Amino acid sequence: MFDFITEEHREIQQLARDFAQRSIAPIAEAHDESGDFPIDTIRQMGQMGFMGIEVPEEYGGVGMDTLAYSLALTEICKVDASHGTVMSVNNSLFSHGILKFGTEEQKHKYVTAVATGEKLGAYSLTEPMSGSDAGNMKSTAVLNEEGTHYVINGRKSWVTSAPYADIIVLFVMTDPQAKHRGVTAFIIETDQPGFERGKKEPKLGIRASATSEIMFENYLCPIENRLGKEGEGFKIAMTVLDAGRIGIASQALGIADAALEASIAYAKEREAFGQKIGQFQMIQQKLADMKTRVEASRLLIYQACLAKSASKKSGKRYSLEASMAKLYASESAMWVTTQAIQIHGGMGYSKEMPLERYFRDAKITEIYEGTSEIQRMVIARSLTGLR
Amino acid sequence: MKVVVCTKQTPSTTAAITLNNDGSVSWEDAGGKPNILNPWDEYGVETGIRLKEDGKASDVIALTTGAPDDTVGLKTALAMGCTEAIIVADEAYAGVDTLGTARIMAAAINNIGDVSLAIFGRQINGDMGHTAVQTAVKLGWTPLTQVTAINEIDDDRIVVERAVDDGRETVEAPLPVVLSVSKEIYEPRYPSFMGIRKANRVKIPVWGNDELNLDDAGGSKVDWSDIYDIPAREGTVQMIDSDDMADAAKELVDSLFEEKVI
Ligand SMILES: Cc1cc2nc3c(=O)[nH]c(=O)nc-3n(C[C@H](O)[C@H](O)[C@H](O)COP(=O)(O)OP(=O)(O)OC[C@H]3O[C@@H](n4cnc5c(N)ncnc54)[C@H](O)[C@@H]3O)c2cc1C
Repeated sequence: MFDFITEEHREIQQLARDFAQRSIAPIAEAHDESGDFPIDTIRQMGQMGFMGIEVPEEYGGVGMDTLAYSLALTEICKVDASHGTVMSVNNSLFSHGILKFGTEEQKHKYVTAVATGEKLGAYSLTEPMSGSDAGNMKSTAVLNEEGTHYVINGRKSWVTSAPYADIIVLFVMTDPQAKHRGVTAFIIETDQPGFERGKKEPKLGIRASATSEIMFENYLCPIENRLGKEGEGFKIAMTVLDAGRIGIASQALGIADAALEASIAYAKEREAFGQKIGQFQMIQQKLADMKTRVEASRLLIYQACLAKSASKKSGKRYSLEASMAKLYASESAMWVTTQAIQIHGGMGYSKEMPLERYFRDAKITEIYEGTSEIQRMVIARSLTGLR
Repeated sequence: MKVVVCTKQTPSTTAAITLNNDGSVSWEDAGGKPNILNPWDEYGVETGIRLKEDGKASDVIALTTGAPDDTVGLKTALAMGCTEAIIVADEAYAGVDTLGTARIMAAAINNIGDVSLAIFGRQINGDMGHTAVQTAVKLGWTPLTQVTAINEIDDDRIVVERAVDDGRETVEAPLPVVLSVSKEIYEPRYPSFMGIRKANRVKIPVWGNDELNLDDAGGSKVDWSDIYDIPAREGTVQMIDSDDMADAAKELVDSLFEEKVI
C-alpha cells in the first residue's frame, strides 16, 4: 500500500525495534524512576547511526530520508520516549540547522561528531521569559572590537541534553531593537570558559532525558562559529523546528502505539463479570477510537515526511504538514494513553506497568517544539495568510 | 590475513514454527522478520570483525550455503562489519547434511584462497555442532573448538583459550586453523544503519559447482524419517486454600515431597 516505504526503510525500522526491545526495554523503567541519563545506551545508539539518520554519509551520517528517521524514532519511543527525545534533538534540531545553514567546515567539524555518536548535541532557543514568543529573548551576543569573537551573555532554559551536551546550537540577540530580526545563531562548544550548566530539572515525564538551564558570562564565540548571517537566527530556528516537529510527532506515535498494544492485550485477557473486558462495548469503543487515532497520526506523519522530501527539490516549506502531524499525533498520544490507563483500571495507575509512564511521557509532546496552541496558529495562518 | 566466517541463515528466535500435514516445517514471525543470522554465528562474525579492527585481518568474508536468496544472515554479517560475503547455492547441493556442508565450505574456502582462519559459531539450529570440525578435516587444517578467547595471533600461529569440562586450556596451533567460538568470546555488536546501507550496496556473488568443482557434495547420510510435535505435557494446577499461611506452606512442602520435586 505504501510503496514509498522501501525494503531498506523496513530494515532500518527492524534494527531500531530490535535494539529498543533488547537493549532499552530492560532499563527504561529504572531510568524513569531514578531520572538518571542512560549514557551507555545513548552512546551505543550513536555508534549505530541513530543520531544522524538524515545526515549525508560524507558527514558521518546514514544518509537516509526523513521517513527512515521517523520510522526509527517511532520504534525507540514505543519502548522509551526519553531515549527518543535525545535522538530527536541530535538528528533534527542540532544537525538539520547546521546542514542547512552551516559552512562546509562547520558541517565537517560539528555534524560529523554528533552523527557518529562521538559527541552529544543540543539546541537552545527558549529562555526563562520567552518560550512560545521566542523572538522576545534577552540573551545577547556582541562582536568584539577586533571583530574576531562574539561576547555572549545571558541565561537560556529548558535545554534538552544540556547537562551532557558537548556542542549547542544557540540563538541569542545581536540586535535587540530589531526583535526577531535581531536573532543570530551560534555553535557553542561547552568546554570553553564562560559557559555553565544549571541543575537538572526534575520533571513529570521523559525523566531519563536530561534538561537544564545554561548560563553564559562573557563567553567568547569565534566568529567562524556563527551559524548563518547576523539576524538570520529566527529563520534558522523556525526552519529547524519544521523538521523537528515531524520527530516529535513520531515520538508521540510511538508512545501511543505502545499504549494501544498493551491495551489490546489486556482487553483480551482481563475478565470482569464473567467476560473478557474486551467484550464490553464501552471498552471496544475505546480500542476502536485509539486505533483509528494512532493510524491517522501515522498517515499525517507519512504525509509530512513526503512533503519534507519534496521540499528538498521544490524549496517549498512544509510547516503546514509538519504542524498538522505534530498537533494531531501529540494530542492523540495524550488521549490514547489516558484511555489505556482507563482500560487497565488500577493496574494502569500502578508503577508495575508502563502505562502511567506512557501517560506522563505523552504530555511533553503537546508542549515542546511548539505547543498545540502554536501548532494551531501555524496551521490557521498557513490557511488564511492572515497574521 | 584473510578470515572467513561461516554463517547460516536460521528461523528467527521469535518465529512460530508449524509442522505441516505433509511433514514439512514452515514458520512465520509476528515481528516481520522470519529469518535471521544464526545467533551463535554472531559470535563468529564479531570475532572476525575484531581481528580486522585490531589490524590482524585484512578481509573478513562471510560465507554461507543455501538457496540463492538465503542472504539475510550474510547481510547482517555485512552490516555488522564483514568486508565481503559469498553464498554457495547450487541445485546439486540441495539437502546436504553437515558433512556435505563441510565439503562445500572447504571447497569454497579453497576457492577464496589464501585463507588463514575459518571461524564458525558453536552450533546451528540442528544442535549438532559438527560442521566446524568436519570442515577442518576436509581442509586438512587444525580444528580448535569451544574457543573462549584469542590470546595471540600473528601471520603463522594462533594461541587460544578453549573451554573444557573443568575449566580452560590454552593451546597454540600453526595457521591455518578452523575455530568454533563460544558465547564467551565477545559480546556481538548490533549492525549499524550505515552497515545496513553498505550491505544493500554490496553485490553478493553466488557460487555454484562451476566454481567449486565438487564431484559430489554427498547429499545427506542422515534421513529425517519422522518429524513430530512434542506431545503437550499434561499438567494440573492444585490450589492450596487456607487462611493460615503456615498451614498452607506445610501443605505445599508436603505435596512437593510427595511429587518428589524436593
Ligand atoms: C522537557 C522539556 C524540554 C525542552 N527542550 C527544549 C530544548 O531543547 N530547546 C529549547 O529551546 N526549548 C526546549 N523546551 C522549551 C519548550 O519548547 C517551551 O517550553 C515551549 O515552547 C513553551 O514555551 P513556554 O514554556 O515558555 O510557555 P509559554 O510560551 O509561556 O506558553 C504558556 C501557555 O500559553 C500559550 N500561548 C503562548 N502564546 C500563545 C499564543 N500566541 N496564542 C495562544 N496561546 C499561546 C501556550 O500554548 C501555553 O499553553 C523544552 C521544554 C520542556 C518542558
